[in-house]
Amino acid sequence: MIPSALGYGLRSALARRKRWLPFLIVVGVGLTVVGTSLGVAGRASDRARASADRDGADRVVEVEGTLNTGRQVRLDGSTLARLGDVPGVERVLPSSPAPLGFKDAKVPGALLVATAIRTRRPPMVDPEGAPPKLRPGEVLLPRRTVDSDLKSVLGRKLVFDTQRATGVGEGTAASYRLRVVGLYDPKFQPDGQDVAYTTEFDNLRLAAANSGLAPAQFQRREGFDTAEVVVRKGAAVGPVLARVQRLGLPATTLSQRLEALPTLLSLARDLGLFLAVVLMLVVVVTTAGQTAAAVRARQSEIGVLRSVGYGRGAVMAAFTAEALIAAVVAMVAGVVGSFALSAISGRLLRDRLDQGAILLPGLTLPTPGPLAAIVAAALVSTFLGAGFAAVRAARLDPSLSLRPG
Amino acid sequence: MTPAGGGAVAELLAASRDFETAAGRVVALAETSLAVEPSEILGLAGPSGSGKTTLLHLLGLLLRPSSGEVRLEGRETSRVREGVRDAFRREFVGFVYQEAMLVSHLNAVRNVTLARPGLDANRAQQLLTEFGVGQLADRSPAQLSGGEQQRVALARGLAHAPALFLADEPTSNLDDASAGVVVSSISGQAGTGGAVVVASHDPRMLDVCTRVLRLEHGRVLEEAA
Repeated sequence: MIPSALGYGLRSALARRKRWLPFLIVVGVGLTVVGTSLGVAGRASDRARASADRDGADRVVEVEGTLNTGRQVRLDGSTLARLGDVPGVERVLPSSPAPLGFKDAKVPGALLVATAIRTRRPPMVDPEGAPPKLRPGEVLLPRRTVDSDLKSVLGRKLVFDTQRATGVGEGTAASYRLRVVGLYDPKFQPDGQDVAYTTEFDNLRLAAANSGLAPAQFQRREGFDTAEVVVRKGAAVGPVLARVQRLGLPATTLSQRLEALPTLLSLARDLGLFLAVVLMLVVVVTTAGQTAAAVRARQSEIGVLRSVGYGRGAVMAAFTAEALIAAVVAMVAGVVGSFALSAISGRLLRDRLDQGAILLPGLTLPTPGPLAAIVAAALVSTFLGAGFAAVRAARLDPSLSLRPG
Repeated sequence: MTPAGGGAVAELLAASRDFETAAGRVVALAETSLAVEPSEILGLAGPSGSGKTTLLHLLGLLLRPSSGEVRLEGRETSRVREGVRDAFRREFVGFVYQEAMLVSHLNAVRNVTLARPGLDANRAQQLLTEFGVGQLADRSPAQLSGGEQQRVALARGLAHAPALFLADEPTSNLDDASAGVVVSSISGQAGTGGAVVVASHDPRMLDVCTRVLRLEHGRVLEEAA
């Protein structure tokens, strides 16, 4: 009798499609938005993780020489030596930002920040690939800055200007000659879009000059702003991170940083989770309400079903099936909608987000896992909502249901 | 009142039914014993509220008796679980009511085959033709007149050749032509060996009954000739 009841529910859902239409629209649109929000954020998260893994960023602990527990922690020579002595550390690469500018006939002006190039997850150069190994006197620039296209400077030796401090609040201009050996895509790197990558040697020279010190004095007295600590094995990252933090240094893993989604995607994920919960509540309440209304309006029909031999389970199945069929249609619409909206929003976000090209390359489609979980949860919610009301239908006294009036 | 017999299709053995209401306990049917034999058309007459429908629903296993027993095809049904009663009802009992009570979203054929997985559309079509509505098989109930609906309901009730056919005021809303079809169909059902119990005020219906019980205030008062 149950298969017959399911067929009965199908015909009933078809006959009452107009009544189910608002439910179909709300759930279909809701699932589209939820699937898209979670899908796009999930895709970006997966890509960020894969990108961090691919580039070996999962073996890097990033250390900052900023204020910590109320005192300035300097990444000076002795601190760097202590970092290098931490068990499991392969090497330590310090860096300090230093302003670096230039202009010529084709470039009206470019203001950049010089920093030492990363050994892990370096920027991607054109055509996409690893940058050349830098030697002293060489620099890697972004393909474009805010106002200028820098393609014309590739391969040229340029005179860069920086500031040499001469006293408190005083300084003079200083020039450095560096050859541009590569242009990176500003979307494909984690240090910002106006970074000029140099060797550790040139970065020390520039940073020291910027502080008005000789390189040796800078290392001893001033210290660097950041250090990239490369760990020998991924499994050792946790212990190294803990040891570095015990030294009083603020430290995070690079992969953590890379995997932290841009604010917009993070908001999309949170919104998606919130809407998913709301959607489930809407599904439960709506299916319970629709089914309860149907039970009230169709009491004599329920009596007829019982009189022709439908058992309580079959009556319950018929009414639950009607809601489930409506839910399945809404789910199909929502899944199709989320595929379409994911593709569209992925395309739009790619050009508008920091690292959008890394996070959302190609066609963006919803992540199957979360989408399947939402669909399953919505079907369970429908079953619960409709089932609750359908129990009432099954418990109706058929004798009373069949009495006129 | 006929005492319970061994070959009866349906029997009430000292069966009663009462209901709890806000005003207190109401006896819908006082202790009653009767048997319905094969080929018998048992009429139930009496004013509204006399217990006719309650008696029909006890025989049709839509109600459990408050006391006593209801037997169907010799099997006690009052104390068995609901699923067994549903199966008995599906196999042995057919109903038709004062109103056709067709399922609005099913066409005539699907109303006839409702809950009858073994009944194919051809047989349902044949039944509808026998009741004079074969050409309306694809129509929904809303597209049928009251008389046509009642004929479809008759086909539904008789589709599985039930051992016991129960009719509750089946002709009260019908014109003469449709009422005639209903009366002759019910007579025909008895002619095939099935038992019929019909509650009615309609003399056309009561005239074909082999026996008529008169009920008042939940009690069977007399057996009319």
